[in-house]
Parts: sequence; structure tokens; C-alpha cells
Amino acid sequence: MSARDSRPLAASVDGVSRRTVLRMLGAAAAARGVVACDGSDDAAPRSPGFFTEAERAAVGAFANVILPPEPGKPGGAELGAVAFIERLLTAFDVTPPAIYADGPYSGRFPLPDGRGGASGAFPPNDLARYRAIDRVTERWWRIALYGSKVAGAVNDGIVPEVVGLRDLFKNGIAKAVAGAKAPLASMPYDALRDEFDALDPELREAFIELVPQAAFGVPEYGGNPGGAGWSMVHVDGDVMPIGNALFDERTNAYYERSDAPIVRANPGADPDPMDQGTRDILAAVVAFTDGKVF
Amino acid sequence: MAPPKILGNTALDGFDVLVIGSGAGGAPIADLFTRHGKKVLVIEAGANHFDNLDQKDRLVARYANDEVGMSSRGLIHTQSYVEPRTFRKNASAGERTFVGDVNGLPKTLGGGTVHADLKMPRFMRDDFHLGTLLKDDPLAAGAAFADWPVDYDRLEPFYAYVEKALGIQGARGSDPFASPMSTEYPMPPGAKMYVAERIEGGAKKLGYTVFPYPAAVNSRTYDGRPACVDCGFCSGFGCPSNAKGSTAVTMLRRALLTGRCQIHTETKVVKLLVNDAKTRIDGVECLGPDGKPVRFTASQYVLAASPIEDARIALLSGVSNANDMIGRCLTFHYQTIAIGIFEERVHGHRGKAVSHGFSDFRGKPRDPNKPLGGIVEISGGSGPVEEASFYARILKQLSPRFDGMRFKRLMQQSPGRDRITALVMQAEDAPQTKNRVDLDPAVKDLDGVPAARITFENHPFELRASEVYGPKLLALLGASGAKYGFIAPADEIATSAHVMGTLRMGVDPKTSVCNPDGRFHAVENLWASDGALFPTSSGFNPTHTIVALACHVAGSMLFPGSPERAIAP
Repeated sequence: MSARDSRPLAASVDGVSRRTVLRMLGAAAAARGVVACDGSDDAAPRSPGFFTEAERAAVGAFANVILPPEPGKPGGAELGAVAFIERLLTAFDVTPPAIYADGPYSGRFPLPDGRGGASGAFPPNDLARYRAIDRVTERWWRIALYGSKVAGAVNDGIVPEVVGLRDLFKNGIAKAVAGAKAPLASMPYDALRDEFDALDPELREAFIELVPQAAFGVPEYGGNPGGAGWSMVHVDGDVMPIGNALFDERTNAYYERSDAPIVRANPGADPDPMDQGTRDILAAVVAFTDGKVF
Repeated sequence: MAPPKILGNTALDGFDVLVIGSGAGGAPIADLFTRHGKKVLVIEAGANHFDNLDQKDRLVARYANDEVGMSSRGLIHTQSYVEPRTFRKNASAGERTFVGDVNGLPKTLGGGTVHADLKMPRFMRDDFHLGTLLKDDPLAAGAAFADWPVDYDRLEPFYAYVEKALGIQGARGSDPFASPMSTEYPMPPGAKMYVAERIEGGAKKLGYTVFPYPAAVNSRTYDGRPACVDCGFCSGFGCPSNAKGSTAVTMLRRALLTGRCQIHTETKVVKLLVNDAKTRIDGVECLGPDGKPVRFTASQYVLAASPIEDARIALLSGVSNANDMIGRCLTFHYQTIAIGIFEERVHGHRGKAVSHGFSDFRGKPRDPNKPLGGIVEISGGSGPVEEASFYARILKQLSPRFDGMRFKRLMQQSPGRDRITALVMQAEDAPQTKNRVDLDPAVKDLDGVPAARITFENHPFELRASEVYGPKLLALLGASGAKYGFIAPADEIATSAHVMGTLRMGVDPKTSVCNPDGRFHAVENLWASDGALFPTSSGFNPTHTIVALACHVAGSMLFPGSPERAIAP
């Protein structure tokens, strides 16, 4: 693979990046706008909302326990955790259910030009619609969301009852809202963390699992608005169809993107070097596993 | 519009062969049978995520760079609550100690070749003779090592055929331990990842030879499919551009385009219909996409649903099992995973999951200082959603309170994605008759069909390999400039996607299920054609050998005694 610094590729790639940003902003706007229809093949009207406004604020507050907000660095709520969670919990309000985005391309990145660069053309956003699911997958997701008592247990008496995510969130959040000494969204971080620790352990686990999915998954699921989560952690996102290696079909040669090389080290300074806290954690992992610090 | 559930020529009937499974073992049967004018019916339990797989133009893979859909929500994974398996270490552990996902492979049109990054090394010549080579080896005591009834030279032309049929990139002669190849790879290696460059620097200091990992991924426009552009969403993901040569977009597609193949997806085989004398299969009973029963018939039947499901179906059906060998000698690969974290960002998440590896730890039979490990993959990082799960697990180990600020810093500083490499060593699993698949006495799937129960315990043979090579992997990380290194703790329940054995092939019906051609000893029209046939596991990724062996099985069915005629140009 060759580096293409000698060709005007850097400009081309930077051009891609600028268009990408614009595209992602567009996608975010679209994502907000399609809550009513989701772009799905046969979208039914969505329910008015699974959470009340107070519950929604509480979900956002707890999402901020997982990813705390800082100036210039969004937290879990700003990264779309509430919309992501609510969309999952109401997945069967639309047809096909809002569980699996379709593919292959989101249109955030351009098509290659076949000459080792990017074309000016972007594919349509296939991820904006959901895909149909088979009967086995549907059965599982109904159990996951509505619980095994409602959707039908399998191996009852051998495996534990599945509490549906809808009940887990609805009941857990309602209880937290009712029991809080102050509105959760206005609490300082340490107090909010105490409230979080008082949640049902299964609900805590659900937050730990779902908030990062919202923040760093593709925006079509309702989170990561405009790719803000990806930007925060220095991730390009779903780079297809341009990819990371640029291929010239005429010469069968690969070229590196100068801003995101494959073969060589990254250019420029590390945008977020490891700090002592991260090193301490790595040292703890090494000690736990009997590994080595070199 | 959703992709079709039935593909191919829907007017076909009077099938010559019915194949259960559309992955690495099933697709080659469809490919070679249709090539020779036969009519093929393929039954696939999973869904179809391709548009126009059975049309000459406009093939579209509906797979995306979507971690939430593919990884978190398991688009093509078996949903283990409704289709569980059970596990126990040994019979004395009780009926089961776990219910859920046990070595699940993807369930979709194209099978495991869709989600895999399709690393395709061949096995080595010695790998086919371990029964002889390890005879009386004290480390192998109690194991059931056996020679394969086919050897490397017999399979070599089939390996070469598969390299062209799927489109495999690689560099012949670059692995000094590899056995001879009669032909070049059809494509040169693609882009080398920076993290492989770093590890190669350390390997040179220690005398190891790093080489481009053979992979069924286009590095050129090939077979009408584009070159890979290294999006990084390869292992665990379907390929959006079809640069990956899954058996779906290669062999199955070719079979469909002949007009002599029909595929039913979302159709689950419940049992084979065995005649009273237990000598023939008369049909298969299935549940269709709507869950209603449906039956299919053909002249011959092939189990290619992966080793655990193959054994489950055979046992559910009451296939003759006089020597109680069905399901036995299940093997995985005992993987030793050395994690290295660099001070700087090595961006291994760009590019294929693995671009390079080395074979220096394969070892030598009967050499106590060189136990049989396997090929080492130089892996990069994952996507940010999987990375987040990694940190969450670590933080929970370190403190009962979730530290959100540290979690956020970890995501930003990215030791687990942007600075990481994983050296993944495969290793020969010693086959043991006590390691097996049978039917759980109580646990069932959503349709009330008994679940597969896996009884599996590692043998000192593979544990010894890990003991010997683990420190060497750590030393390599140090020599390559990593700052931190550790061996990932092994999972109590094997999670390897390398699943082999259960219907092992051999000459003697007392110690094997299928004959050297892949046919069940006791059933005249039932065959197996996937990793279930493997007598031993080798130390190399099994997919290439699964596909090559399946081609050999197809050849044996089509041209008894002259299987190579099936792949003649």
C-alpha cells in the first residue's frame, strides 16, 4: 500500500470529511424528524411515548451517570440515550419492529470513484428503515421487551422468568422518581450516583449496556446525534462504502488515507493520550491476570 | 421490501440432493451438484439478508457497519433464550450447569461464512496423521487422536479449487511451516495493518516469521465482486460490499444461477424421516417460516448445519447409532489470547480484523518442548460499542460503583480499541469420546424440540500448549513495543466459533460415524459435509478445510472413487 501524500488525495479526503460532517448533521436532523415514521417500509403511528416527561428526565439523568456531561463533551443524555431506549422499548409499535436497521449504507460516507479516491456521490440511507424479522427472532424480542409471562416462557421452571425491559424501566424509573429527594435531573453527580446505585441491579445493568449503545452506535437507533458520540471518542463511524483503504481499479493499487492510515502510524498528535487513571486501571488488570508492564 | 424467503428456481422438484445448512459445509454441495447437472434443495434455518442472490445483476448485501444491530442485538446470532443449548463439564456435574448460548454459530443464509472474517489457512500435512504421530505420547493419554481417512495430498486439489472458488488472498511460500501448494493464491495480500507491522518488528527479534494471513477477502476486483476497502467491520459482521467471499455470494450464488437450485430460508429441520430398517432417509420434517410443518424429499441427504446441530438432528431422528458414536469427540480450539496495549494508537480497528499471523507455535508431535499449539492471529481492535462493554466489565471488577467519568475517559483514550492488539493462538484440542453432544433431557427450544447438550472438559494436552506458548506471546508483545500485556482469562464455557467433530469420519464404524467419503456407515443415503467429520481439530482456522472437505464429499457422492472429477476444469 502506498501513501498518497504526493497526490492531491489529502485534499480529497479532507473534502470527504467535510461532506461527512454535513451529512451526519443532516442525518441527525432526519433522525429527530423520523421518530414519527422511522422511514420504515410500513410504519404504523408511534405511541405517544412510553415515558412521562418526568420519567424521561430521570432516564436522561441516569444516562449521565454512565457518561457524565462536561463542557464540550456531551453526556449520555445529550448523546441520545433517552430516545434510543424509548425507541427500543416501543419497537413493536411499528412494522417492521424498530430493532434492526437495514443496510448496507447510511450515506454518511461517499462511494469510491474506482480511481483510489472518493466520488461526489453518496448512497441513500438504507439504515433509516428497519428490517423484517423472522418468527424466532420476533419471539425472543417480544420476551425481552414484554417479559416471559406475557410473551410466553420457554423452559419455564428450568430457566428464570424474564422480566421485560419495558416493565424493568417503567417500574424502576417510576420508583426512582417517586423516591428521589429532588428532581433527578437537577442533582449533583455524586447524589445522582447514589440514586443510581439504589436502582434495581438489573436496571443498572440495562443502563450500563444501553447508554453506550446509544452513544456510540449508528444514529438511526435514536442515539449518537450527528455522530457526536463518535467524534467524542475519535471514531469515524460507519465508513462504508469508501472504507479506510482506497483502491484504484485501473492499477490494482491500494492507497492510504492520509488522515486515517492503515499501514502507517497516525499523523499528528494523539488527541487523547492515556492519563494516570487509565494507566492505573491497566496496571490493575495486569496485576489481576499476572501479566506484565513492559 | 424484505429479501425473499425462497430463492432460486421455485419450479424445481425431484431433487437429487437435499442439503441441511447453507454455510461452509452445505454450499459446496450445492455448487458442485448443480455444476454437474443435478437438482439441489437447500434448507436453511436462518434468514436471507441478500437481495438478488439468485439474479445475475444487482446483488446487494443488506449488511451494514452497524454494531448495535449485529453485535448487541445479534441480527444473525441464534437467540439463545428461545433456541438454547445446555452445558456441563462432565457427567458428574449433573444434567446441566448452564442454559443459553454455547458455541453458537450464526444462523443465516451463508452460515458462519457471513460473519467470519474468513481467515483461510490450510491444515498442514502432519495434521491428518495425529493418530499415528501421537501414539504413545504420554501427554495425549486418554485422548482419542485418530488419523484422517483422507490426507493432505488427497485434499490438496480441493484446497486449490476452493482458493479460486471463494477468492482467497495470500502469498504462497510466505509461511515456512505450510505444506506445499500446487497453485498460487488467485489474489495477492491486501493492506497490512500497522499493528501487524509493529508485531512483526518484535517477531523478527525473536526469530518468528510473520506472513500475510490467507483470507477469502478480495484484494482485487474478482468474480464480479469489488476489492475490500478495509472498513474494519469484518469479523462478526456481514460484508456490505460483498468483497468477502462468503459461501453465499460465491458457491450458493453460482448454484442458484444454474437454475438447478432452490433454497428455503427460515426453515428449521426438526428431524430426518428414517425408514423402519434405519438404513435410508425418506424425507425431512421441517417447520417453515410461519412455524407450520412442511416435508421435503430428495434422493440423498446431507447434514451441513454445523457439528452441534448435525449431531442434534441425527439424534432427534433416531439415526442408527449402534456404537454410540454420534455426537462424540467434539472439539473446539483452545485459544490462548495475549492482549497487548501500546502507549500510542495503533488503530487495529481499521482494516480486516487480522491481516497477518505466524505459525511458529504450531509445535511438533511428541516434542515435549513444542506441544501442538497453532497459528497465531495478529488482531486489531473492535468498534466502540464492543469496546464500551470491555471497559464496563473491567470497571465492575474493580469497584461495585460504576465510575462514569473513568468510563468516559477510557472511551476517549481508547486503550481497548485504538491501542490494542490481541495475539490469538489456536491450539489443537485433544479429541475425547467423553466430550460430546447429546439431547438435553428437559430443555427444549421454542417449538418444543429438545436442545443440544454439550458435555466438554479440556484435556491436559491443550492446557499444556497454552502454558508453554502463553509466556512466549507475552514476550513477543514486549519485544514489539507494547506497554502492557496479559493473557485473557479463559471462558469457563468455550466460546470458540471453531466447532469440530461429533460425526467423525473413519474406516471403522466402531470408532467413527461416517466413512472416508462422508457417508454415514449405517445409512445408505445420508452424508455429512462439514466440520463434524473432522477426526482431529488441527491448530489452524478450520473453514478452508471444511469447504475443501465438503467439495471432496460432493465429489465422492457424484463420482464414487473419483471425487476429483467433480472439480475438474
